Amino acid sequence: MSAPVAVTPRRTPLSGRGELVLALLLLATAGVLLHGNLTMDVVGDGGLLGPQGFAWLVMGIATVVAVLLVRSAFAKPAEQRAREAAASADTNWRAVVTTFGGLLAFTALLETVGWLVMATVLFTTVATGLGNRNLLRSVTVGFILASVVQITFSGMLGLALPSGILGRG
Amino acid sequence: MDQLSSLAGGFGDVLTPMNVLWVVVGAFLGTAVGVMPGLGSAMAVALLLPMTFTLDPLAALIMFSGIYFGGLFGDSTAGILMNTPGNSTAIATTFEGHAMARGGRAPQALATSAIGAFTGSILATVLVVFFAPTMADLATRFGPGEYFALALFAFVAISTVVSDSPLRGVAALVFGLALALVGTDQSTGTARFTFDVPALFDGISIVVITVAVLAVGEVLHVAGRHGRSGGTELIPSRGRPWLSGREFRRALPAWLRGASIGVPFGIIPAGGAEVPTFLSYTTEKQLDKRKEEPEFGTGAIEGVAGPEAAGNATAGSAMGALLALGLPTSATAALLLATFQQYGMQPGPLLFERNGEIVWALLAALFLAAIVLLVLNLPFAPLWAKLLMLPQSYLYAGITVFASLGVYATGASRTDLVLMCALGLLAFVMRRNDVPLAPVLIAVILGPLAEYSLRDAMANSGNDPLTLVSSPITIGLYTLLALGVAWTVYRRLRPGPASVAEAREREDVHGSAS
Repeated sequence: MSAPVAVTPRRTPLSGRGELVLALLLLATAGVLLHGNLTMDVVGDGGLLGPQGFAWLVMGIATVVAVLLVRSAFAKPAEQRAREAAASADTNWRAVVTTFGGLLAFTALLETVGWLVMATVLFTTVATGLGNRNLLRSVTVGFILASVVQITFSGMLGLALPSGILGRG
Repeated sequence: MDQLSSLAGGFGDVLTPMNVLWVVVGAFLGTAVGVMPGLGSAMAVALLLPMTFTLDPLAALIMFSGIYFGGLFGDSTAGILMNTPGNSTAIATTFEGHAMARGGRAPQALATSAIGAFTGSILATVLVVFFAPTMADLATRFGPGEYFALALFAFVAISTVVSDSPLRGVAALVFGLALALVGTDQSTGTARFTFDVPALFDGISIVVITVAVLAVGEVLHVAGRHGRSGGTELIPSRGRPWLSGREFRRALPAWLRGASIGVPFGIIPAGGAEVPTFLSYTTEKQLDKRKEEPEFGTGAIEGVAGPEAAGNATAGSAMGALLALGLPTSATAALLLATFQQYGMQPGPLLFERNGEIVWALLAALFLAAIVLLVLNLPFAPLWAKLLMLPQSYLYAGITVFASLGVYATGASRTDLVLMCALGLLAFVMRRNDVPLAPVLIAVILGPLAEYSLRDAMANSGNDPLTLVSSPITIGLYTLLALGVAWTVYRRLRPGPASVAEAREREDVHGSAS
């Protein structure tokens, strides 16, 4: 466990207003639904609502909620904002980025490099991201876990796991 | 007494060595994921679902039911011994349970919680056995209008009535509904929001969504908090795990009260066992206040007995709602629904006729699971607590590996892994902004039901919106919903007695104090 880093809160107009991220995601969702609905190649007669009706509805709700979230973000009392900004600044971004990087690498390389290697890499990355400094042991534990999974699921349950560079081709 | 003979037949099917083994495996896994913080039965079922393709349906279903009940048995162990509840469903138990442990009564707290969970499971399952067929009969009269009302009820209940911030609840709901829209439209065959990616034509698998939102989101959340929160201390549980006669007499009414609070919540699609556990906790606390020497805060046995029984009773009746109505009322029930569908069975009114044997065997397995879990948990709870000694970094690294395995195994496609990363990130952002995750899952499950029953209702009635409120059942549901919303508005405007939100705040205080 590393000692908590002293946090000096930087005050920007956006700090302590996490709702804005949420609103942005909602608007993005609404945007995707709008684009999908407009470009949809509707087959046959879907009745009153059709395949698009429900999506229009969801899009509408998403937009309304996004607007309300933005409003509530700017109507927030200063005290609550400061508290939330402090809580959000107190984040171990390095651990998040390492862990997520491991997942992205796994996603990108699983099918070419294969399960055994990539599962070991994923295990080691997450364990290291979460503060485990014993790299050799993480790799060993990860490799054992990956092998056990390969043997049980691929060997006994017939689940296809990519063998990649270690495999038969 | 048709039910009794059917149930006897069910026991006949389940009491084979292989099936008993699956019950034990499920109970074992369920307890394990329950004990470990951040893992729940929904995640365990989601991870195992792709791996059960080769099992026969009954084996998979009884294993999953064991996991469902087991998760609720195990979740209180960490709460009692470490003040870190394994799941949101154990928060209510933790207040008094941890106080008991600090007072040197850890074994009694663990025993009370195990027997409470057992009582809740058994009582609820008995009720399901007797009333599920009647419920299924009633449900055969449900048309699209009724199902739309049920789904709408679930959406509003989970996003506004239950959640702390209705706005955030609805936001979560929107994400879920949007995810559910992806794929080929069932009634016209139109491809929707697939971006011409073939892997998306069948929609996004519920397994991918659940694993991403619950497992990957949790891992990222833990990573973000790593090294930031204080450590916790495990209180060893020593001494006899048995309750004295006096303790038993005090806990018994609380178990029964808890179970009766829990049962109705299994049928209401309000997102699982969290609300009834808090309700039970509040009830026991109110009763305690009337005593000459109130004990709450110092380790009252009722405060452990009630919520535990309530939690498992909810899980039991949720199984009933799933089997008889086809309506999943919690995330785990939703995954059990996916399991049924994987084997080509559709839970709901017709399940009892078409797959009666499996249903009764499953119900018999629930009784068996409760007994196995009691045996696994009553004497061995301190051993389970040893799981908490596992280094956090390895635990979460292992979860990540299994999450990726489960997602890849569903479709052997990289698209699913990409979706997992994206949705995991979304869940991380949601967690950081106090957005509840349960509405996402409920929306994904019930979104299609809501959409297609609305479209069917419109088509059947010549687009007459009044068809949605044309039957007593729909009118009843909408009235109940209106009352719920009115009560929520009232509760928010006027700071009332201890509510879920208030209890949660207490939990925050507890958390920071430890």
